[in-house]
Amino acid sequence: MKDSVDEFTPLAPARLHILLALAGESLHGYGIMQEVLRQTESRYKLGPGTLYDNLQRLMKQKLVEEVAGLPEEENSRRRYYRLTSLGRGVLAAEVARLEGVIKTARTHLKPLQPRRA
Amino acid sequence: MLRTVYILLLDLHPGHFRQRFGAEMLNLFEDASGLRQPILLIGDGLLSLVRQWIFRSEFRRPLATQWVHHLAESAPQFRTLDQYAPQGSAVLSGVGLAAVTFGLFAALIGYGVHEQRLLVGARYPSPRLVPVARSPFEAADLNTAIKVAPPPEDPLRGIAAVYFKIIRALNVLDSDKDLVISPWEIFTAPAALRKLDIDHDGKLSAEELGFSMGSNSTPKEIVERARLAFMRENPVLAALDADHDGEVSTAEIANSFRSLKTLDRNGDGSLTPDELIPDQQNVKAAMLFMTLDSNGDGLISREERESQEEPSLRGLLQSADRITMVS
Repeated sequence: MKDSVDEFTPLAPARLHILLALAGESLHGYGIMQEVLRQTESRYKLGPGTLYDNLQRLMKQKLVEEVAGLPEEENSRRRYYRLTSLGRGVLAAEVARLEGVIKTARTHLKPLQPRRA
Repeated sequence: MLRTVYILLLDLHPGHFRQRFGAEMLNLFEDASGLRQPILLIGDGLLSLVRQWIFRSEFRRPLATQWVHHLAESAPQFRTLDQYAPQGSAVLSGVGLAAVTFGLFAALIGYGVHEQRLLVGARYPSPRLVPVARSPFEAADLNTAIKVAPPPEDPLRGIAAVYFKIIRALNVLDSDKDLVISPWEIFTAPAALRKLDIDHDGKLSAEELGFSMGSNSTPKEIVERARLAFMRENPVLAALDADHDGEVSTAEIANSFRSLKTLDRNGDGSLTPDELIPDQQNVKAAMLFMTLDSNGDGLISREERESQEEPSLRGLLQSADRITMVS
């Protein structure tokens, strides 16, 4: 399982943000775009072309799957997506990797202590 | 407008992507407000278009597969119990058989039953129709020779060619040198005749019209008589010199197209050599009259008749009714 997860990491920024957006609940395309905006405080904005291109690849990799829409939106053109278990594992692995990166970064970026004379 | 552009962009995406995500992308575009957002979405669509066609080939099915897939969905299929795929040798045999069949059809069409083509005008002993080989290269084997006889030579044409050169009026009138004065050449006769007025006196003398004695020693009265005879004997000059004074005046030049029409005996509008060349009998009679009329007054007097040494000629003059004799 770990080997199969590792082959998907590291994740590209767009895919990471999409997986993070879907980590909480199933969302449609517009919902994913809004959630990414919220999580990044509007610093990362996905366009529909980028979103659906990445969704296409994530679904092919079985990291994301399409689910039935909400009962009140049956006639809507919107489709909902959610993480698969594999996708959730890949996201966890990626977060762990990033934590390592951050830890390493913090270690290397400690402010230099002035030497005593 | 922008929505139309965006729909066009979506239409240009690969079919599988357009069918799967096109509606959702359009839905997002329709939710965009203002002017900046739709324009940014169009830019995003352009990038997506490039990305899908260049970097996402793994998602596209081969065209043949798509076509077969489409047929599978829309057309009935023949199903077999076995999974059958023809062997390579069978395919080669089929190609060979198709080529042989095509060759046979081509041979039948090219050399088989066809309607006989007929040569019209072949001169054979019997009046039967002669089949002709299809190939034009075989036409040389035919034993038929077609000879086109030259048109019969008009005996007057040779005389006319010389005559038109002597009578300069005819030479300038016949602008196309076909020895026929056409209706157009008759109509333009005044302009053509004015070219002969070398001394620019507005009139055409016998010399300007082609008369020449060839010798300066000829007595003046004889030259004058010959000049008058020249103008009278040649029908075209006689017609032009309406008052028979031996020259074509300015008025006669201007009226020449009417005068020339009087020579058109057959009424075809053109003047042909037989209408222009003087009758040989008339020429001979005129020459004889000029010889008898020694004083050149246009009359043969009794003295002139009696002075003839030839008795038969004197007898002829006595019995002649047409010649005016002055006693």
